[in-house]
Amino acid sequence: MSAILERFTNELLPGNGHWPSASEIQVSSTMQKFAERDSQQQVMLAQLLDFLEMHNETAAVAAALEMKDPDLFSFAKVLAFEAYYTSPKVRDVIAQRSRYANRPPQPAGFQVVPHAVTPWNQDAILWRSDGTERSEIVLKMQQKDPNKTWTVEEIRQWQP
Amino acid sequence: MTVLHDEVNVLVVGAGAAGAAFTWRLASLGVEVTCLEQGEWQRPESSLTALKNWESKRISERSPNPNIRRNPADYPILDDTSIIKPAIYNGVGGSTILWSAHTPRFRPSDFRVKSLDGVGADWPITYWDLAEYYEINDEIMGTSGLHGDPGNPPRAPRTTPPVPLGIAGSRIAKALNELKWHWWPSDGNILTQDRGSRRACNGCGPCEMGCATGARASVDITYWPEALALGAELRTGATVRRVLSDAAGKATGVEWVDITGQEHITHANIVVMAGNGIGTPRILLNSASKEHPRGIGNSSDQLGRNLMLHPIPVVTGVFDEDVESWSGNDAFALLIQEFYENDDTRDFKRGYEMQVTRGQGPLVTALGGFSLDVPWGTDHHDVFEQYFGRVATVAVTCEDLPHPNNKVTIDSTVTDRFGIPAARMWYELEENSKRMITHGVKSATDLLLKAGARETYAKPFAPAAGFHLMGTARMGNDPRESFVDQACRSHDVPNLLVIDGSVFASAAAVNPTPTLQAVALRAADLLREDALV
Ligand SMILES: Cc1cc2nc3c(=O)[nH]c(=O)nc-3n(C[C@H](O)[C@H](O)[C@H](O)COP(=O)(O)OP(=O)(O)OC[C@H]3O[C@@H](n4cnc5c(N)ncnc54)[C@H](O)[C@@H]3O)c2cc1C
Repeated sequence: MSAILERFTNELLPGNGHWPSASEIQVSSTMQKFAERDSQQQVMLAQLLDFLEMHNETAAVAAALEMKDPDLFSFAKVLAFEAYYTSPKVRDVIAQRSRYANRPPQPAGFQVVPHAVTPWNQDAILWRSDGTERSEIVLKMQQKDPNKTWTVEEIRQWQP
Repeated sequence: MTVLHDEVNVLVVGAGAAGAAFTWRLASLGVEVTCLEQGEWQRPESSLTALKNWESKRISERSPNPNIRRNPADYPILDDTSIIKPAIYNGVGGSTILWSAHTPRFRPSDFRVKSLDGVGADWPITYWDLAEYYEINDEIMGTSGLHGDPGNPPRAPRTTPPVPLGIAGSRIAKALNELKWHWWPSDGNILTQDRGSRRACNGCGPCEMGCATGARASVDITYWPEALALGAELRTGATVRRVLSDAAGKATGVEWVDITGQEHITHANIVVMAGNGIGTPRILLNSASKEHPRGIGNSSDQLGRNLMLHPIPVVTGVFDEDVESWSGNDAFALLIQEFYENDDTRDFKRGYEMQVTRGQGPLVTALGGFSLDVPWGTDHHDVFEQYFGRVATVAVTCEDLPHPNNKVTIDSTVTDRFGIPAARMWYELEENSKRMITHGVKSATDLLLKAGARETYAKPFAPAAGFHLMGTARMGNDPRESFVDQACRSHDVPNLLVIDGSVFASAAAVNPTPTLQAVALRAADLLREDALV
C-alpha cells in the first residue's frame, strides 16, 4: 500500500540535486498521519489508495488521476504538498536557497523594509462630491488646506 | 425537554465586528445589552503562528472557509451555486479573528450610486452621517496610516504610522509615482507602535491566522473587553435558531440552543441581528411565521437578495531577485484609487481599487499563492524557487452591483449540529463586473511590469475570497425595495434591527468593515436618541 502511495508522491515531488524527493522524507507516511485528523480526509485517502491500486500498472498515475478525478487529485496534491513543505528537511533547503529563515513567523517576526517612498499626488484632491452641500464645503476646505490636521470634534460638525 | 426562559432588554445576535461595536456603544450609553454568540472566545495562545506546523494549520483549522474548517461552531454554507466561496469565522470576534484588517472607507459617492451614476441603489444616509462614527471606530480599533490621503475626505490623525511598504511595495510605489496614478499607504487596524497591551506589528506575515502580538485588531481584544467592563453581557456557545414574533408581527425575542443541546427562549424588547451577510439572512429566513410567511420582516422579498461580494481579480508579479515577500503583514501595504470613481468613457459603471499585497509562506506558495501556477512533477522545484520570496500581488477590489438573483437562501436538506437549515449562496458575475475585471487586470499587470516584474500571472477572480458579505437585508427609504430603514430598523418589524454588512445598499470598491462598524455605532446612538431603549 505504502509503496504505491510513495510512487505517486514521487511523481508529484520528484526531487533534484537540491531538493529531496517525496519518498526520501517519507511524505506518504506523513500523509497517512495527517489524514487521521479528520474523518472526511480518511475517506478520501482510502479512495486515493483504491485508485492507485487499481492503476498499479499505469506509468503516469498522477496524470491519470488528475484527468479522471480532479477533486480527488486536488485533495491528494494538497495533502502531499502539506506533508512535504512542513518537513524540517525541506524547510532547511528553503532556508539555504533563499533569505527565508527556517523558523515559524512568531515570536521573532520578520524585519520589513520601511516606508521610504512619498506619494507624488499629495495635493491633488481626487474624491468626487456626492452632490450634497456638505461635500462641496468639505471639498473646498480640503483644497484650500490639504495638509490641515482635522480633529474628531471638527469632523463631528459634518453631521447633517 | 424543558425550554429555559429569561428576559433581557436589548438582545444582539453575533459577537463579530458589528455586534461588538453596537454592544459597546449601547453599553457606554448605559443601556442593558446582551449578546448571544454561537462560537467561543479565541484565547491569545490559540494564535498558531509560533508552531512549527503553522502552515498546516493555515489550510485546515484556520481555513477561512467554514466548509473546510468545520469547527463545532461552524454552520454549513452550500456553495456549489456560487463561483465565490464563503470566508468567515464563527466565535467571539467573528470574522475579525481571521481578517487582514485593511480599513479603507467608502467615499461619499459610494452612498449615492443610483443618483450619480444610474446603477444599483442609493443609501438613505450619506458619508457625512457616518464620518464621526468612522473616527470613533478608528480610535477603538487602533488605526495605522498616513494623514492626508487626497483620494478621500479628511480624517483625524491616525493612531500610528503606516505599515512598512517592504521591498516590492516600495518598487510599486515608485512605479506609481512614474505613472502618476493615485496611491497612498493603506489605513489598517494594525498597530505599528505599542499601545496598551497590544504590541507593535513585527511583520510576521500571516495575519489571517490570528495575531499573536495583538498588533492586528480583532474585536475580541478591542471592543469586547471595554463593552464587558461597561456591564454588557456576552453569552458564548449560544446558537440562535430563530427570531420569535407575536400575533401583531412584533419581535418578542429569540429561540436558541446552548452547546449541551439545552433549548432556551430569551425574551427581549429589541432584537438586533449581527450574524453577517450570510448568518443574518439565514436566521431571519428561518424565522417565518403566520404573520411573516417569507421570513420575519420580509414582505418586500428583499431578504437574502442583492448579495454583493466584490469580485477580486488578482495579478501576481514575479521579480528576478528576492523581495522577501514572506515578510510583513501579508494582505496590504498600499492602495491605489486611480480607477475608483465612475468614468463614462469606460465600458463599465463605477470602479475599482487596487490593493498591493505581499507573498506567502512556502506551502501556500507551492499551492499557487494568490494566482500562480506551480506545476507538480519534474519542473516543480525549479518553478517554486523562481517564485518563493520573489512575488507581489495586486488585488483588484471591483465594485459589485446588487442583483436579486445573487442571494442567500436556506436549504433544510442540510443542517448544522442543532438541525438549523444550512445557508446557500447563489452568486454569478454580472456583465459590468466582467468588463471591470478586464480593465482591472490590465491596470494591475501594467503596474507590476512597470515596477520591474519579469512576468505576471492573473486570475479573473479569487474564488476563495467570499469575505465581503453585503446587501442581503439592505437599507432604503422604500419598504418595497429594502429591508431596513436608515436607522437599521426593519420596515415591517420596528423592534428588529439588522446592523451588519447585510444592510449595505451598495458595495463600493473597498473592504467593508470600518463602514459596517460605523453603521452599527450609529444605529446604537439612534436607538437611544429615539428613546427606544
Ligand atoms: C480571511 C478574511 C480576511 C478579511 N480581510 C478584511 C479586510 O482586510 N478588511 C475588511 O474590511 N474586512 C475584511 N474581512 C471581512 C471582515 O472580517 C467582515 O467584514 C466583518 O468581520 C463582518 O462583521 P460582522 O459583524 O458582520 O460579521 P462577523 O464578524 O462574521 O460576525 C458574525 C458573528 O455572528 C455569529 N453568528 C452567526 N449566526 C449566529 C447564530 N445563529 N447564533 C449565534 N451567533 C451567530 C458568528 O458566529 C460570528 O461570530 C476579512 C474576512 C476574512 C474571513
